[in-house]
This record gives sequence, structure tokens and C-alpha cells, in this order.
Amino acid sequence: MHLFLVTFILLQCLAAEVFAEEQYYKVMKVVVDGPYMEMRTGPGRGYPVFHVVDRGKEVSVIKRRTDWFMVQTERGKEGWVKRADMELTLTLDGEVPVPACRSRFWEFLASTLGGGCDVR
Amino acid sequence: MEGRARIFLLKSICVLTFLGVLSGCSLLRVDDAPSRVDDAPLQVDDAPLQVDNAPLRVDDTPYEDLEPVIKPELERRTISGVDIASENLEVGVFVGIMSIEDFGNSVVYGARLAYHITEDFFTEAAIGRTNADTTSFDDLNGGKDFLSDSERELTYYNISLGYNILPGEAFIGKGQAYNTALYVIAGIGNTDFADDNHFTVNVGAGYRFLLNDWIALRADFRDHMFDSVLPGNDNTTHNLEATGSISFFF
Repeated sequence: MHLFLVTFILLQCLAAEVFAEEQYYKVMKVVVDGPYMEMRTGPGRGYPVFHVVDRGKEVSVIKRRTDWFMVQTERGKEGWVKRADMELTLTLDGEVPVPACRSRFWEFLASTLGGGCDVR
Repeated sequence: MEGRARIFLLKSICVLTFLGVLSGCSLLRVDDAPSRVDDAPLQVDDAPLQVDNAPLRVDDTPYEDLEPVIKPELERRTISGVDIASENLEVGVFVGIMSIEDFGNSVVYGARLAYHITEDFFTEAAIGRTNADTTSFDDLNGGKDFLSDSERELTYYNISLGYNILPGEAFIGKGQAYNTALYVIAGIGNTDFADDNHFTVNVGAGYRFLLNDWIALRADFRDHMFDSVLPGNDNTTHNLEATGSISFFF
């Protein structure tokens, strides 16, 4: 049972490492390309929208938790943006900054079961 | 008379327009390419559509070899690889009270490691330790210990799956809002108690209160259920546990 637990913890850490290798956004700043981008107070759909970023505005991506990204506007407001909204942004090069996997769930499966997901 | 003439005129204009539309607006097409008309007016009349189909291709150079009309001056910028940190792991220590069935209440402490798979689901590994208090058997037996000190030590570890069932905000005062989540959690594990290992199922619920985006306070209520023959009869024991913890996302 000890072994089981240790294995589990190691697996969790490994999973995190895999994410570190593969799933990070490689950019820090993105431009809103959808009509607008909603910022929530927390990384989840249960948290309220408190700010909206206009199309064409630049935001910095600070960190990520599950499928939510913490961004900071040019005026310094910080909030969480869902993955679907992040897919409606462009990098400063004009490319779409999306991770390889279709959703966080597939990312998790790919990292725990091995292999990648280039399904996008 | 004047009115009739006007109507006739309008009618004829209408009919002409209609015919023009039907014939593919050949008249208008000629207007669209006036230079061509000047160069070869007869040809335009004979085959107006052909003129439109190949307006500019004079030579037979394939498209691939042609120079682009607009040359975009694009230089790909190499993005300095500042990776965005992902904070899906949550590590925490907890302390609380555990009520071991027939053995009273005692202080429990331990550690947890959670991994947030999605905004809803998270997995968690936990280890906890407590010391069982005296059982009623000890008291009745006149001070003779039912279990030795080392046997009284209870250690459990488990893995669980949690679901954030009520994410939301808590308000403290007028200007402060904190993210919270109520979650339900269940899992399996092992309990090492009285020199014996017991397969343990745990179910419970908890409340996560985030002080900022990476420090959380948690309150957890859990029922650890395992089959035990202590202190005499074989039954499923319910060992309730209430803990408070501080945890950090990284």
C-alpha cells in the first residue's frame, strides 16, 4: 500500500512535468481577436465575470490552472479567462495560441497514459 | 397623351432592363472593361464573356512562376520562451480531530497533495496519523491496556476523487470577495491500526476558501469506513474526521 501511494504521488508529479514540457503556451502576450474577452474572478464557470476586454486589446498571460488562464490587462486588471476565449486570441505574430490537445481532459489522459494529442 | 407616352417610355425601359439582366448584363460587362472594348470592339460584341474570363493573362506563364503582386514584408519574430506556469497541484497540511469508533476522539494531522484535472474534478492523495484514545474496554478492565502504545497509532493513506460542486464567492465586509468552492470527495485507501491493515473507503465533503489565487484554507469532513474486529465484534466502523488545512497551489 505504501508503494501504491508513492507510485501515485510520483505519477502525479510526472504528469505535471509532462504538462510543463508540452502544454504550456509559448507566448506571454496575446491580442483579443474575438468580439470581446470575459475575465472572471476565479478559474471556473461558477465565478462571476467582472471585466471585459475589447477586441484588439493586448493582455499578458500570467499562469494557467486547468483550462483557465490568468491574464492581466494593460491597465493591470487580473482575472481568469477560459480556454475557449483564449482560442479567440492571436499572438503578436498573428497566430492562434492553442495547446495541442482538444481539451484539458484529453491532456490529462495523454499525460497519464502516454502519447501526445495532435488532434487539433 | 403626355401621360401615355411617359408610361410607354417607362415600360420600355423596364423591358429593356429585364432583357439586359436576362442576357447576363452584357451591356454592363462591356462597360466594366472599357479599354478592352476600345482595343477590340467587335470581339467584345461577339464573345463578351470570353473577354471577362481571361482579362489579364497575356502570356502562358504558369501561376507558380509569377511574381506576387503584393510582397508582404513579414519577418517571423522568435518569441522569447517565457513559459506560462501551470498551477494544477495543491499541496497542504492539515490538523483536526478524528473520532475512531470505540476509541474516542483524538488529534489527527497529515498532509495532502491534490491534482486539479479540470475546473470540476481533482484527485487527491492524503496521509494522516492519529493516536487512538482509550476504549470503554480499557476503562472497564481496570486500567489494563487493551492496546499497546504502538498499536494505538493509527495511520491512514488514501487516494480520492473530488468534485467541486459549488464554486462561488464569499463576501467579507463590503469590499472583499473571496473565491470558494464546496466539494464532495470519495476515495479508497488503507488504514494501519492495531498492527493490522484495513482497506478503507472514505467519503466526505469540504470547503475551500482561497485567500488569493494560490493560498487556500480548507475545512474537510470525512468518514473513513473500514471493517474491524476491535474491540470485540466484527463490524464496519465509521471513523469521522474533521480537519482544517492550509494549502498552496503551485
